[in-house]
Amino acid sequence: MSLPSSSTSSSETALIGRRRALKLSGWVLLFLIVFDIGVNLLFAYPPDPRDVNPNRLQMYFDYGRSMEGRLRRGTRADPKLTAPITLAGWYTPLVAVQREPKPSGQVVTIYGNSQSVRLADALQNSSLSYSARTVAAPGATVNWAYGAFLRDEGAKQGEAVVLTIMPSNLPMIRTMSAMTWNTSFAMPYTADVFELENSELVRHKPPYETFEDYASRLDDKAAWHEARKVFARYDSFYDAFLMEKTVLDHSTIVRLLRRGWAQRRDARVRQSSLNRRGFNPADDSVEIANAIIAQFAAKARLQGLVPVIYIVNSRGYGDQMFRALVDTLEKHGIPYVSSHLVVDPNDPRNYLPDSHFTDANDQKLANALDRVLNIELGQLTGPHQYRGAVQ
Amino acid sequence: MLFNSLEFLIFLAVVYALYRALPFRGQNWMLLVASYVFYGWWDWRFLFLMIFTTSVDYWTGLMIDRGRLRSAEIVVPVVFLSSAALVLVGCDVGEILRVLRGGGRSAPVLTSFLPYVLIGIPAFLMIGTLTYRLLTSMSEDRRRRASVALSIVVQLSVLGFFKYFNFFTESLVEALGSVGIVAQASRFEIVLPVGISFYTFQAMSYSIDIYRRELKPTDRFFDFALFVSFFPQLVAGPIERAKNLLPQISLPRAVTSDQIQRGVFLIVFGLFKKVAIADGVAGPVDTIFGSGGTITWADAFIGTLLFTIQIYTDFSAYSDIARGVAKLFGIELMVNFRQPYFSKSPREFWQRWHISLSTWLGDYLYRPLGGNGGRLAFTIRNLMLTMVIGGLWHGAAWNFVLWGFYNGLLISLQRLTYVLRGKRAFTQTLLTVTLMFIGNGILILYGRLLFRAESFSQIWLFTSVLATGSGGLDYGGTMPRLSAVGGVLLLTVWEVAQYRRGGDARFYRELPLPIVGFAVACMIFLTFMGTSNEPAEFIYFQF
Repeated sequence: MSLPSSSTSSSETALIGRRRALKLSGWVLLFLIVFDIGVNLLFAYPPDPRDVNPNRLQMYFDYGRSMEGRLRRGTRADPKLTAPITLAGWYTPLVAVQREPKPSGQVVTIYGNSQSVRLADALQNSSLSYSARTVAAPGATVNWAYGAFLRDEGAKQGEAVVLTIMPSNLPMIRTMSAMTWNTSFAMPYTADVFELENSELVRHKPPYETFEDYASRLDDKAAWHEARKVFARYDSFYDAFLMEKTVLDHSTIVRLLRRGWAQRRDARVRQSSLNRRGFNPADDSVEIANAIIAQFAAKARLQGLVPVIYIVNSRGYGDQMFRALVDTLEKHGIPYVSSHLVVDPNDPRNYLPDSHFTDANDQKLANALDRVLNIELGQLTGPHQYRGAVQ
Repeated sequence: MLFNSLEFLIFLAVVYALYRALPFRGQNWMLLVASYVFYGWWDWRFLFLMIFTTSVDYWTGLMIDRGRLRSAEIVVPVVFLSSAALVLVGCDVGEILRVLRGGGRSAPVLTSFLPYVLIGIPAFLMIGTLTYRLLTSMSEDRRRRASVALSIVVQLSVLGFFKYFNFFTESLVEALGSVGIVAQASRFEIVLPVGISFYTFQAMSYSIDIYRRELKPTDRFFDFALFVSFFPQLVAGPIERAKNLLPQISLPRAVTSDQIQRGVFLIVFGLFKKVAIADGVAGPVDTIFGSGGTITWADAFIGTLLFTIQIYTDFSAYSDIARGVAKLFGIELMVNFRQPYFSKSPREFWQRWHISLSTWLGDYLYRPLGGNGGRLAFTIRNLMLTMVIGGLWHGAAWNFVLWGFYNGLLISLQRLTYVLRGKRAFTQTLLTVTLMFIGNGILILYGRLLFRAESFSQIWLFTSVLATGSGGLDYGGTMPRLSAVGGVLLLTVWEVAQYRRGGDARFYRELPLPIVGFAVACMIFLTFMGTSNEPAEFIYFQF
């Protein structure tokens, strides 16, 4: 840039400055367009729904695509051609994984998500008495797990049922589908939503519960619109900007901004229920969680099953989840395994990078569950009044 | 309201549009209202505190200079202060706003403080009148000294109560307990008002400068109120001097196209540093320093290194955005950072880091203590006192005191070496310069550990792990975000280029436009990538 000489007037200098600024803005804009297009070309998400191994950058730059756009890309009516994740977690048919039976013939069904599956695998490995059965969906919230329990006829053949609850997805307890809150993965499975009306849990069933119904609605504009209206009505995370597919999905920058919007939405919701002192007991999500575990225990007992609550204290959450539930657990005498009693939630080494517990810790938690079950089923004498987990 | 939030961008757009449409006096009124809204966004009640200290310093400034107040100079602040007390303390502003928005009432509009306000206003007026009479009856010299003392006492009392009361009472109880005396601390639930340390120091410099006859006080109360509350730099600096900012507020301003361009660049640059980098490394830092488990050498080193990056990009980002926003209003704020991590010595570091605080401490603490005007021991005492108080300014915790002590020690050692070498600096060869960069870098890193640590036991743990290499290279923390990795690379290239051009912050103007365009586009793109990082408050808000 040439500096103004002494003969250059201030208005000329300003004009030169403005021209330069304009040109610079043009260059910035041009490079942004180049980046936007370049990223789309270099890190294009694999178009084949069955390709389950996109690289990290492909996933990174795709996260902010509208949920509808991602679902349409991954869904095919034929289950053999659709993305595997679109098949997971449906209530109908309810998929239960039964592991090898044990000589005692005793079965424990664990409802929840991948944390539950890992616990079940560890229990299956170490327990002499209990065979583990799981009903789980990826990242499932406790309302999904409770809805699964209500539909599960197979559990009645067993001795105990375990409901998994974790703080990281507690604020999502009022969601009707993982697709409204989980912006990392496009998971269309649906869940019951529970609301408290005059201290009573009221259940709202989702507009569809099967993959086939979902896939056909996605192809039917009017039916999909009607389903979205139900989500908008009952799902506290439903956000049209994040959900609906538009032409802007093709822009990398819009996708990045949409992802940022989603993260801030999540943070805002999390902060409304959780602060530095812990979960706000008056928050909807905490009240509903307490009501769900109380009702789960009551219904299980009516069926002659021992109810256990598995509290996964996620990394960075301390024992907040346990503290939010402990009054209800004690009031109703509900047995529980709270991970913070076994695994220090403040030590990052206790967790894998994907935030699951390490295998060794899952084993410790399974041992704790085994012991709680032994006490509750009368196979172990011990401090009967103590219903928590011990190492 | 965070600079890196959508609310702030909307707020700024509205304020700026109004600013460009209004005449000079209207601009100042509008900026004052905007500043109060900006501050009240956190907590309306603390706005009263700021208005209180503003009023006291306005009066004391005039009393120092001319010893008399005109009736308007008494009445206007009294009415404003009383109204503020009634509305901000006596009423629940949040509730009033909720009612005005049609949200219905969920709590009483009047607070339990109202009776105290109704008693407090006449009591304050009575005390004020008596103080005024007392001051006017004094000789000029005594009046000047008493007025400046009054200003300092009021400012420090407010700061001391809100920031240090619990810290000192708890420390006292602990100290008594260690010698076997059991005492009970009556702990108040005191909330620290955002930015109180910044605006208190800014207001104090006003009355001290008038006392030193380096500044004439303003008789326009609302201009002074805007000087104290000017929103771009209100909550995390730069700590402005009245000599620089007040004339820019009191006199009509013209916004040049150069200011707009530079202002927009600083905002973009600041957002890039905050959103892409600082927020992108905050997660791993919090994980490591919040860890209650085993810490390895890699954890301690990487955690400290990332925090070193975080605090610079976070704090300098705030200063950049503050300066950029002020430029849009035609106001120039002081430069707060000059590439501090390129320092070759502790002293140089403090000439480049948080310049508005270090020069404040130099002007109003170190030099009044005697500076380096006496024997070496006297200079070292002054250095230590200044740095320890500077450390305590950051927060009411012993690790900040230790951090201040550590920095005082480093600067004192440097001074000692300098004197012992016959006041000759080291010869600067490539080797010595490299060694100085590396050595000073290590000292800065360790200082960051003291600053960030959550307890003395953590300082001890991290120090012993770093010294012994315990745990080796096994890193248990989370990884920084992609935006931070790219951002640090870009920022390093940018800062090296700047440093090689003598540290000129406008060096990029000499580069070809496509190169600058490419770099700015990268910054914007990385900022967009960083929008999905967990948005965190600016670190210095807590101070």
